[in-house]
Amino acid sequence: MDDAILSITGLSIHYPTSTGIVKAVDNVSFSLPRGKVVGLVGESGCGKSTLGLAILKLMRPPGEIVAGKILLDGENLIDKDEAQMRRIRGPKVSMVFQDPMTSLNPLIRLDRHFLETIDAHERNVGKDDAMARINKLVEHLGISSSRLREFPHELSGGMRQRIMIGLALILNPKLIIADEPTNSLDVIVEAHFLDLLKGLQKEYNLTILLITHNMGIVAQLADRVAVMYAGRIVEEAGVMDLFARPLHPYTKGLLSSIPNIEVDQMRLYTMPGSPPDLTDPPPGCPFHPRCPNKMSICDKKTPHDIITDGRHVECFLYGGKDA
Amino acid sequence: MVSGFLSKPFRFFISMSKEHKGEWYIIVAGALILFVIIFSSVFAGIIAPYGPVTDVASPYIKEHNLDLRAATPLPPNETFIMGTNDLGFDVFSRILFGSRTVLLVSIAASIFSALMGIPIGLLSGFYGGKVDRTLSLLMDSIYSFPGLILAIALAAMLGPGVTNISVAIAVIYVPTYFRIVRGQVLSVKEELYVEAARSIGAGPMTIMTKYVFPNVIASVVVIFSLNVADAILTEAGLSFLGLGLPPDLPDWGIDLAKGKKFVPSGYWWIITFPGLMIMLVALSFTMIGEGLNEVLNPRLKEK
Amino acid sequence: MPERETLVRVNNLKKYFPTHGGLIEGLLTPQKRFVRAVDDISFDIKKGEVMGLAGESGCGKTTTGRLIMRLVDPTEGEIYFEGNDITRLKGEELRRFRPHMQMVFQDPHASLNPRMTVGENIGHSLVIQQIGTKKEREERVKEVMSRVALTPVKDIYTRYPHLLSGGQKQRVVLARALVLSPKLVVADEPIAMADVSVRALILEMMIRLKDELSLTYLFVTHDLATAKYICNRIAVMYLGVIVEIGTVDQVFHNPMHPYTRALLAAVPVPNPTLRRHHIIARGEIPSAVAPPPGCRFHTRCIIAAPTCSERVPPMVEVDPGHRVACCRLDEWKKRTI
Repeated sequence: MDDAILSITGLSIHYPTSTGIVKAVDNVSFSLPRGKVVGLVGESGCGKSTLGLAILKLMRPPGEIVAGKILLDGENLIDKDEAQMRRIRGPKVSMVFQDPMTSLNPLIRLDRHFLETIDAHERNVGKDDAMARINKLVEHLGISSSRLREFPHELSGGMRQRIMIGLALILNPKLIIADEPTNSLDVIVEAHFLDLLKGLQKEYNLTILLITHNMGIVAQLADRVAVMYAGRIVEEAGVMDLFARPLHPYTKGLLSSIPNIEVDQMRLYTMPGSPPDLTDPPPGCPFHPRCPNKMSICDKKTPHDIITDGRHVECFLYGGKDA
Repeated sequence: MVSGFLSKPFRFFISMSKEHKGEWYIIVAGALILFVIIFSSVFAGIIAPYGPVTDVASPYIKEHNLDLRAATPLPPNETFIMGTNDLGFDVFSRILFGSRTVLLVSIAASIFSALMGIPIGLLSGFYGGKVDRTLSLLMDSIYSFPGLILAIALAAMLGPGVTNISVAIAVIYVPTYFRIVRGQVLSVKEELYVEAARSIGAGPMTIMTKYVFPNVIASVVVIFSLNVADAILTEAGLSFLGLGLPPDLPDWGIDLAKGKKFVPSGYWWIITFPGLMIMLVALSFTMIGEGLNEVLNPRLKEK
Repeated sequence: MPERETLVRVNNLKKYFPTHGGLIEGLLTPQKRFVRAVDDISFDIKKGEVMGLAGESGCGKTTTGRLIMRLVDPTEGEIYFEGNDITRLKGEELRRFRPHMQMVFQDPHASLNPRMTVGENIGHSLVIQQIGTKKEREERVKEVMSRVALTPVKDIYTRYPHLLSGGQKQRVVLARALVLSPKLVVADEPIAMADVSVRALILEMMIRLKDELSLTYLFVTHDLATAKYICNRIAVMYLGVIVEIGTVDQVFHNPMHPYTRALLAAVPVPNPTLRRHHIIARGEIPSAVAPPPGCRFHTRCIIAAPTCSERVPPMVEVDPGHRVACCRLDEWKKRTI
């Protein structure tokens, strides 16, 4: 994993609220290998979206990065000011959000969305050249370029989401952060979209950080998977390893609690409790109140940087008790 | 059973207050100001050093052998902390007694308009259709009229008196309640919990009183306190114009009106203190209203 | 398995909603336009089973649930409950009938009255149905609360919904549906809003309660994996009509309708060794205002023939209890996808 396009070390993001500090992201380290799809999975409120936004320093105020490094091609984004970040967002890293309707301006036509994006970053491109590029890309995404004269509401949900991916790709970035990109889509359209995404990834050798709560999507698309719980990445592994041999009790529980259409299941594993309130997380390992393998150390110390068989898993079952 | 009846909204309030410390301070500050004013208006008879319509300046002038022409109205001094007015009445005492009129008229007016506006808005929003269209048209036509001018016309029509001026002010605020309540009802009645109520067999009256109204009332409380603030200004405005209240009644608006002609002569205290009080009362209600708005409508903040 | 008694029977049910066009649209097109949310469906629910209604958003599955619950009035057709026609029940009769069927709503947060405590939210149906004294009602509510593991009961009873976690709210909604001891529970996407780690708990609880309280479920969902797990029988809906109905075994292991196959193929399987995206349907769901003529699925179907746009496919029984509405069944059987 030497060739990482993005590597994050010790990142912590805090949200001060009236009831206390929410540690939305707590000492997270991971990296995105170039040309791979990394799935970032977790439940709502686990901090996965905040982490995705933080890479581009876009997290909503009052959230702030209190510690850590974000290295994009070796450059630390923490040191960049807003003007420098704007030059990174788009040409180097771009985002695809879950609801295309709120991400597109309803009052302007689709082609202007593209033209403005190009205009904001590339000074010397003529309109004809730009349009030619846009038409080519949009046709490539399976949308007739004649539809570019339409307004966002005239398109179906699936097409809007394709436009979103088009907008993300128009400046040729190498890294795409997709936050629940198919959440608003029905299952058949979702399958089309995921196929498209996979195709584009191979074609352009993109690196994709795919943020989702859906284990199925991750299994179908990702090369590596990071599992997030209560603001921390609790396990990270290659997709085959993770699904064949999950190590962290949370990952194990999650995988055996979801219905699988390919298998005739008799019973699902029911995980007790619910995800913790991040203003007041449990001491030690935040998963210990729900963990079937809880040991005496778990509510006293927080597991950190535990490596077993070359895999990263934040759980005392796999060592680190003496550290 | 009183405690049981009260404990429920109280508990709800406490549970909300934990999440909104900042707003809570504003509400408490507003309530404190208001409490002091209400307290002093209730006990004006005890607190006020003099009567509201007693010429206290003349005996004072005689006693201290002041030059009569130079000395009326008397500026603030140790005896009359806010001075006296042109008739020799103590401004401080008049402010204390005057607060009764202001609070009575503005609160009565707001209660009256709430009592009119809330049920109409509730019915109109809940049932919709022709009734709704007629009522909306009526209310919009009142609303589109400049408030003070309408109040002036009504006050002139109804003649003087505390009740009449309250009614005149009340009418101009009915549409405010109507519009807020109707709008809220329109959104609340589409909520899933209203459908859930229908699925357990609740009839329209039950749904309106138990499911719709309690979820609308929060915004009414907010409107009410903001409304009182506005009504105070309208009342002062009407009195200032000499409409509605009997002239001998101690009232801040009347004092402002009568005192304005003395400003060029340098007798600033006659209108400054009533003016400040109007501002202060209006401010306290606004603080309570805006604070409650933040606390009771958390959904507004999420967006 | 012995033949089960029918609890609910739905005959040729239709629900057309008038579209909310603007003023100008109203002037331009004087005839009223309708969204054909449910357009002539018939099926039954057997006592003690979990009947699934599956399909994409806008297929009419939620409207069907609300029609059976008598929360909206059908445009045409009849609903029978234990043999009695409940389609035209009104007012007091309807109120007295309500306890037999209860609903679990999709969004637990939105379906609880924020100004009522948990106890009041659950117990209000008992008040409306004039069941028991105040003390008895409280007892009953607490009993149901402990059944759905809302513990500590005493503490949660007096809490307001906004202080509960998502999973707890979902259990309050469940408790509210159960407090009247219904025979049928219509569950509309009951786990869609829940956290992933909490979903299994709710599903398992629903299964346990079904056995304990001899309930029947109509389980409305877009998630086929969940449907497969919890349902005994399933009806697949598309644009207001049922395209395929049968036992879970029949529909999932031997899907006959091209739409069912497309749906099943599109489900992302949580197993990276089974990566397969045979996309076997085109485009997206058309508008329910003007559904395609003939077979509604023909615009997206990969085996559609010209006749498909002319003829409305009849429901054909391909196996006992397994019915499919497709004109190209013979063609389909020849293919091996």
